[in-house]
Amino acid sequence: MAIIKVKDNNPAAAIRELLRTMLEKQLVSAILVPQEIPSKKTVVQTLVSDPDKLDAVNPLAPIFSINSARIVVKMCIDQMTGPVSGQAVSEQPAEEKEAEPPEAEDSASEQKQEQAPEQEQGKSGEQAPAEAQSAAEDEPAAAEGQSAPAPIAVVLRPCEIRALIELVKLQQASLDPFLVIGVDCWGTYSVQDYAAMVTQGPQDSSVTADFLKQVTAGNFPEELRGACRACQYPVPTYADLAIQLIGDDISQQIRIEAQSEKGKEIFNALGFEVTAESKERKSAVEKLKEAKKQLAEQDKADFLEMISSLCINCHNCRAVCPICYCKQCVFDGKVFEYPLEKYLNWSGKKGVLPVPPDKLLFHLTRMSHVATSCVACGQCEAACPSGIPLGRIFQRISTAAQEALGYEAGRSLDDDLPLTTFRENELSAVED
Amino acid sequence: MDHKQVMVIGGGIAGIQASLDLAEMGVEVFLIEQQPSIGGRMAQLDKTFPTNDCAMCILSPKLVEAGANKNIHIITNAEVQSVEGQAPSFYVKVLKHARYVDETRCTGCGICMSKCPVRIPDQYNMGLSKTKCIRIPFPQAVPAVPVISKEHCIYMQKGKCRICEKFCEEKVIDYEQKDELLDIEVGSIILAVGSQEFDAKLKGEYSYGTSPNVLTSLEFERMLSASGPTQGHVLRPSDQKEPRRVAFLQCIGSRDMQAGGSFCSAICCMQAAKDAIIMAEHLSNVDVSIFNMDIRAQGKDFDKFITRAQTDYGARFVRARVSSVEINPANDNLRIRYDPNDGGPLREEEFDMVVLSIGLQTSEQVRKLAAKLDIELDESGFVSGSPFDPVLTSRDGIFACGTMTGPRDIPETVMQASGAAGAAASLQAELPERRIKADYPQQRDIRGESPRVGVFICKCGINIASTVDVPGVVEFALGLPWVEHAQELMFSCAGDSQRIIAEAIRDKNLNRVVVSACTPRTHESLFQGTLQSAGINPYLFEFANIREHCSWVHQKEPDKATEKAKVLTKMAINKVICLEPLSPKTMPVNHDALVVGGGVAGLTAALELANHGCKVHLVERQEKFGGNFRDVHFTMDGQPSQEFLNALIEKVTSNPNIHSYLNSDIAEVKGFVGNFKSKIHGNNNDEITEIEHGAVIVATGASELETDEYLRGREPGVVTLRELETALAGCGTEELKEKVNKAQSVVLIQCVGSRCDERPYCSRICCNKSIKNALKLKEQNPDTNIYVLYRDIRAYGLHELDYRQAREKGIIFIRYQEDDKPVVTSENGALKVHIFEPTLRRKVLIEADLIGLAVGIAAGSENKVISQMLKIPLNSEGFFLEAHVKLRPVDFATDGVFVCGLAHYPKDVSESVAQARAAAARAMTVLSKDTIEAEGKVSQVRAECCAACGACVAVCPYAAIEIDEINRVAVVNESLCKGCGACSATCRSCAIDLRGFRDEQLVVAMEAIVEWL
Repeated sequence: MAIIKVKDNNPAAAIRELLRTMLEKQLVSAILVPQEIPSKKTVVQTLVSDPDKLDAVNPLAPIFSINSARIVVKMCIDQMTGPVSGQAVSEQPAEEKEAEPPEAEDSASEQKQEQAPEQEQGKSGEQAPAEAQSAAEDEPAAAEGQSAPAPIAVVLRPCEIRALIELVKLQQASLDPFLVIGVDCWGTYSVQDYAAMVTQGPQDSSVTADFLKQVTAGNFPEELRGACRACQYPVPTYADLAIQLIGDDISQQIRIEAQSEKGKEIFNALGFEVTAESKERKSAVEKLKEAKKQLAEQDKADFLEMISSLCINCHNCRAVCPICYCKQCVFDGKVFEYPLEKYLNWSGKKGVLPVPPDKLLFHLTRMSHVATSCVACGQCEAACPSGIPLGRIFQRISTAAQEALGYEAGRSLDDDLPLTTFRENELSAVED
Repeated sequence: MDHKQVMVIGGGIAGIQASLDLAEMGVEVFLIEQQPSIGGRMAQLDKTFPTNDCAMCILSPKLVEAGANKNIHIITNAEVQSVEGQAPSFYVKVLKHARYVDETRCTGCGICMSKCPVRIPDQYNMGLSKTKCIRIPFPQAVPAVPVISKEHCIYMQKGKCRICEKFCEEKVIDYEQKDELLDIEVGSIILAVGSQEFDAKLKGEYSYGTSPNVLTSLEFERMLSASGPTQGHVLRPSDQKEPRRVAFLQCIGSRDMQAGGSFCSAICCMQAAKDAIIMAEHLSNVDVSIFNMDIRAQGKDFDKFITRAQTDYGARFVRARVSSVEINPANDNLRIRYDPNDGGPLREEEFDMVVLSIGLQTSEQVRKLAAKLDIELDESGFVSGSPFDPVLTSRDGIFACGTMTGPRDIPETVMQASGAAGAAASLQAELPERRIKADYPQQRDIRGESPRVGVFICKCGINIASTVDVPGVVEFALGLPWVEHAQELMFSCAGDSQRIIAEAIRDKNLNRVVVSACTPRTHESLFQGTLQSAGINPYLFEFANIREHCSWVHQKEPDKATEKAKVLTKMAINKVICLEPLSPKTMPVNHDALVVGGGVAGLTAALELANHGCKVHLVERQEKFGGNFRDVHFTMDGQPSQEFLNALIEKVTSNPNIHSYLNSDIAEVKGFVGNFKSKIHGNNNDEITEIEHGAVIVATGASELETDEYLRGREPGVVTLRELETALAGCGTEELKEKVNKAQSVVLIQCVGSRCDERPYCSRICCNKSIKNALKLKEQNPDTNIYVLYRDIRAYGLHELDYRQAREKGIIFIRYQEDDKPVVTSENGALKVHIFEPTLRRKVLIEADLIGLAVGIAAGSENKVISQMLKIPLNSEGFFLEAHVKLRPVDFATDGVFVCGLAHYPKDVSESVAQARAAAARAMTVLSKDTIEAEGKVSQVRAECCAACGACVAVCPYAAIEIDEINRVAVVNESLCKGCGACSATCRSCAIDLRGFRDEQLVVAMEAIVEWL
């Protein structure tokens, strides 16, 4: 745990400088982080490898255009395939995966990056603890004449991390190449609202600064996204490095904590002065969750009717959902193609048939597939052209489902996915 | 001649299991049963402890299997008259009593039974209800052929009636049928004639026979059973009211010097607890009291079951022997008088109903048979073979199993049966040409044909026809598209019906068949065989269950039931049209075996397999064979144990078929049934040996618990039973030997580390081990005072006789409670034991020169590694969890892997040997084959849809799916897949189809319901 001073009442800038240092010191090979576009109307995810290209970085902008777990999954597709030549498939892949160095033979450029940090560290003799650490770490790799490449930092919101954890458990992603940097989150605006605020606000104002001012004072703007209003996960459940804002006066300082061995290594290399935990943080987090709970309870829409009347079967919700990982969705296959005769039959039964006929079934199927892993990020709701409050529906149902199964999506890599292990007393609450 | 034939005498569960195992090993079996149907006592039980599985539900598939197996010739209503010759050539004369019905042609329709005017007591229901003079003994009987009891038949006694003959459509009644004498030559004989129950009338003081409300435990089983006289309603016979207070009296005819046997019947404590639970489930408001002397819950998960009966179902266990049961004439209630053993006066309680837990004993049939076969019996009338090997008899080539070797429960019976089958089979002709195959005609290629469906609606006698309008369903089916043929059948499962179905297939060129009858669980394979015999792929068959799912549960609504039967039939027709021919994968079988563990169990299993002609790889971690048994020095009757062990080791090490690997561990096991590839790691030289084998037997044993209770480890006078026995045998340290020789007062403390929260199970062998060592001590020094401090003396079965002997010899047994354990103190090395003496009702102090601790048995710590390697489960205590605790006690859900010995649960040497023989026999059912056929209905992955998330891997109970990490796709191992469909249901991408249950096939079936709604 260390404190990072904030200058000019700009915590985003402090994070930016932190990231820049990490790149400069080649502790990370690249950083996945959102940056503002020149017009400032939105942010986009970028993968930055040049420390000079970090100027527009703003992970605190209250806008959430994509659940980046999806991006991480895309980035590690080739990392998911097993050893190609000769080697036997290991008996216990889960355990061995961590021990195995990520494959380094892929490209020449990666090899360059690997060697660079070593040379760098060799020059700067002052960082004694970091050197000792990395030397120890490098030992097994050095024997083979190679060293592990510096990780790719990914700067993620709590719901993005939780989705990523689920995807790792579902064997769709690997954490090996990455350094997860989690950032506290009070919530976000929709893409449209954010753009409108940027356009409508005074020339030199900042939507981010205004937002942080409000939420740190305990006020939640009306425009907060539905999913964010109900969110019970304002702080990362898992991170190598956690950037902590809640509970501190972020106009003065923010904190950084290493939460894994990988994180500790980087933390040490950054040469921070170690400080104690914030005393206020715990109660501030609880207070925030309580406030969100009350916001959520105000929501009383008739969800089912909304689905069956508003859904246009565009499947956008599926396209943006971080948990929907199927290669081919069953709804895109032949199962739901019917002959004309069948349409007429169904219509004939009741006199009227809402078409297309599988609107509700689509959502119910998707719900049954994702409910145990849903992190309630609300991207489905944002993507819905008909304005169905899908995020809130899924939040409500998945929370109940996960509670019944004694599971919290994204809480930990160690919890078994529900419904894959038999527990005698599972669902007893539901049975009674 | 080559002797490929074995006779099994007795068709209870023991005889059935032995026959099935033999048949699967390719040996032809003659199964002789005295009753008109096989099934034995198990067919009469309601549920089975400790899982509460329905006895008939788990037995009936075995009955059907035995009845349908071409290698098994069932001869019922028959008895063995004489046996001549000797191993390997026995000439047996079997007297088959007249049944007065032609077994070969009878369809079992049951018309005769419904028309017969004579009602006689139903023996199947213990005389609690009536049946007919001509009757099928029970609905699931095999063969399902009626029998006439001559002494009750009006025609045969008085010359008039012949009603059954008149109504019989097949004309199979034959009043002139004569007893038949059959000459059968076999290579070996297995005896499995069981035991009989004690006649409760001999204990007049319990009012059995005078009060209708006093029942025997077997009568009560029938009352609990849904197929029993009251359809499972517990009603007291005098007024047909539900009882409020029920007493179970234990040890009726057991542990009794006056009547019955002086041994323990081993099963009654658990049976009473099971009955108490089932009754509490039937009646919401019943108080059950179980009057017992000791609770003998010595088996796997038994103690937990007793606890459940107490805590979840309120059963009260009263430790008292009831002296009398008197009838209260005012209300037909029963007054029970007993000594509560608390120092107080005799107590009296009143109950609405009393159940006498009658013991098992040997039967007249056993004695006669033993005389005919010249087989020795022990003093209690049970077959006595070797103390180490219970399936052997005093005569070569003749083996015994089940309760005729002593009282025992079903799993032990099944283990002995499989063990006896293995022993008998190993004397038969050499592998590999043993297997008899059903030869079916070439399958017709139906590609390009439009569906031509044949539909057969079963009346199941009156089971279906009395509720469902069967002709109506036939007519309905005929009107459906693609249906070429529909008809009703009286009993679709009868042999004659198979002929009718096959003819219809040929005559009308059918290419798909639907049978609407009962359950695929028991009968699907039968009809699939019929399709095959008619040249149709057996997977072009669909089964609609209009009995269990319809007629039985909707008896009061025949119209709606008929409607439902139509919809169920239509679902099956819709589905059968979409089915496709499947060809199960055939795989070669490697005939070698791997045995892990070289204790008595592993050695026995290895030797047995080698005797069958298999090559065996026997792996032992230690430097020597023998395992825990190396520390057992003498048997209960004083025979030296090490001679047995050394002889066994000698036989194993000199057997050319057995490759021994001492000081070695299993490093890796890959593959599946018939095709394993393993690596054996030599611990001394780090060498890896790679082997291929077709089956694995896990015999890794268990270990004596480490304890520091009762000053163990701090006082040299506190030893374990194992150390005591070693010293008694003249081995071990001089210091201890001297201590033992000089000891004037010895205290043995039971249940050290067993039956506690941490290990809530009984270690089974310690009571008997304490008794054995106490007797030995007494023998060596009669003046020594010996005290055994115990919670329950679990001298189950014939061990009770030793317990009695120990008490006669003056060994003092003092009971203690779990919450008031004895306390051991030491004053300068002088040991003192403080204990509450319940009879004196005061604390007593025993000065002890030596304290022996009966420490429990703990599961081996390496079990976890083995369980992961072989993908087989462990129970919560770390012992291996068999496939089914009753009927598959050495198998796992994973094919080709078997367990025996202490790795399964604590047991004594004879039980280990029996189980090891069983494991070897079960392994031989795999290894005897050249090829094995996989399931046809297996899962299939559509690679293009699979996201390799691994959800299917996690849910597969057979470890039949793996993720191919290179191609990122799930891969099904068809040899392991059992077609349960869990993967298909769990796959979010719908990337897994279960053949025979594809989405399209299920959807069209469901459409039949949707249309009807």
